[in-house]
Amino acid sequence: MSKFISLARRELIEHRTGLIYAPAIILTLVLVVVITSLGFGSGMTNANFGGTGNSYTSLGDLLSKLSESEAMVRAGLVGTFLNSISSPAFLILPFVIFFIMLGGLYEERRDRSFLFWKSMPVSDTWEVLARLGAGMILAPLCFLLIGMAAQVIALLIFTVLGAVQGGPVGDLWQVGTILRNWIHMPLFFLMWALWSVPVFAWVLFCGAYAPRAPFMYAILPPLVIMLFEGLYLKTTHFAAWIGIHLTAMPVAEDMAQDIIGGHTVIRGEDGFNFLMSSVAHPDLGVLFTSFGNPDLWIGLLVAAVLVYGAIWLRRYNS
Amino acid sequence: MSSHTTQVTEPMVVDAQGLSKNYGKFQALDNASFTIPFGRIYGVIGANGAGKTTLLNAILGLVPFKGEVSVLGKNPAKGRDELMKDVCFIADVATLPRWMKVNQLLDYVEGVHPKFSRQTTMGFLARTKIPLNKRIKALSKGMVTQLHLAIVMGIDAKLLVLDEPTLGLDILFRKAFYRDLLEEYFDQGRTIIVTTHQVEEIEHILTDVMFIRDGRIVLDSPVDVLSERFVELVVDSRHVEAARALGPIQERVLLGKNVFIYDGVDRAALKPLGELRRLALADIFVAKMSGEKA
Repeated sequence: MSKFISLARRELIEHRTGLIYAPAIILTLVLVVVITSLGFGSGMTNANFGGTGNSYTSLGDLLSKLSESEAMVRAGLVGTFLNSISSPAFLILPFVIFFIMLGGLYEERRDRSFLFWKSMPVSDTWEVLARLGAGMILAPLCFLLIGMAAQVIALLIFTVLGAVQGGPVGDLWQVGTILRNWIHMPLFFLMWALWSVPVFAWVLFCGAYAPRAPFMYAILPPLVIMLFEGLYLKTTHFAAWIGIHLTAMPVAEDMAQDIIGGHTVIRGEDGFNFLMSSVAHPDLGVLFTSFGNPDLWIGLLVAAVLVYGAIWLRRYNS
Repeated sequence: MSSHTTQVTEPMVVDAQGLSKNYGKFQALDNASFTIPFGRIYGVIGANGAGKTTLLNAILGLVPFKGEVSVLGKNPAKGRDELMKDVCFIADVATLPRWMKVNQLLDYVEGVHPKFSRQTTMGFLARTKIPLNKRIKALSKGMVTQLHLAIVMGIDAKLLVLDEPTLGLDILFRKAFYRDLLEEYFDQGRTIIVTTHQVEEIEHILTDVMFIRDGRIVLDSPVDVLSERFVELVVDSRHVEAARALGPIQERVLLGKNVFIYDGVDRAALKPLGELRRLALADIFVAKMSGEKA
């Protein structure tokens, strides 16, 4: 266990820029923008919540209107608001993971520090899994925790500002919705990690293999395959495969299916209500529907082969 | 005299039989066989590319190889991680991760190594000027080596392998490095294997040497035996023919005098011919390497 913690801490230190500084800086900027625009009213005239076209004079005013809506919509709006605070960071998450995967096993060879790591009683399997875990588990976890912190900070500041402006701030604290989203998000990222791991395992493998310019090794072969497939077969299966896995498309589709249920045509207001209900009370079980999807398992198999290759390379590539 | 023959039943730190390794067509190690007992300081000496590092890497389980190698009774090719609980190595200068702070590195070693004593390492660090809260990249080259040595000394290992650990450091650091190693770390329960280009600096601490050329071990002997075996004779001009007849492995002319080097020739026979001199390890190495026809 202490070995596991030590490896995780090492990864956190090595990749502190991507794992901590990057999301922290982005979310600080988001908080500054959101608080100055909403909290002090400058963004109020443009705010158009729930498609109602209403405009508000202050945060307190907004909160008052909020308290008039149904409980489910209220929870959904607060949930949406909080999710929109933390989600900008997730846009860079795939890039952060990409560079963690590419860098770990390449840099340790470049600066020769792998010779030190190898003098420790830690197997090559553990080492490679630590690198993989840094990207697929540690990175989403850091982003989630920093995102939650940003949400709490936003809630606290809005509570104070709302109270000063005389709004019913109690409605902000949709504890049930907040907690359920805090469970939903990690589970979503777990599924996303399982779907996208073959793509990132390829990057990890390139980091272990490339004698130099690992970026080129990671990027060029897939591009060449796409090019030849396009030229000779006139198809885009390979690009689609990467896209589906990288975005965990099937998970998103399952969630969408779950939200709209059996409806085929959705009008504006229904759509809004579906959305609010899904945010207020996100369904956890539906996240795991794609365990029945053979594409997921094929991807995991591909990832396992690539990770095994990276372990083999680290053992003998000295 | 030689414990090689008397300690057959005693367990060896390293037991290598028919160790071979090739990189493509290049034969880095060619059927090397040797044993290394406990409580020794072994110097592995050879030119660049002779196979020293390959030999050490095979012992450490860093490269696959052909042949039978057992290190502390274990096969290094399988389970390097298990082996590293009892074996430690410094494979080059400055292999410590530059992005880590000294404290963080000690945390890491403490977390993964069951035989690491932080207290011991801190004791050594207290004698240096190494700042604990600085990143390793902020330390001088000498400090990084001191830090690495301090970590190694905190690990209760049975075998320590050093491959050019002091390359590029100034002489004060080099001297201090080997002094600390000898005085504070080495004991009968441990074995050290070391390679270096500065043979003369470690000569006095070695108990055994192994000469290696083109992947072959050309000499493997305790140091005290070597200084018995090899001798330099500075000959008066009238005895040159007689000296030549005794089969020197090297002959040269130095400042007008003929100088011969002998391997295993009775000193009583040499004495009357001129002045006998003790040979330094480096001279023996050169004589041995240039004398042997490849």
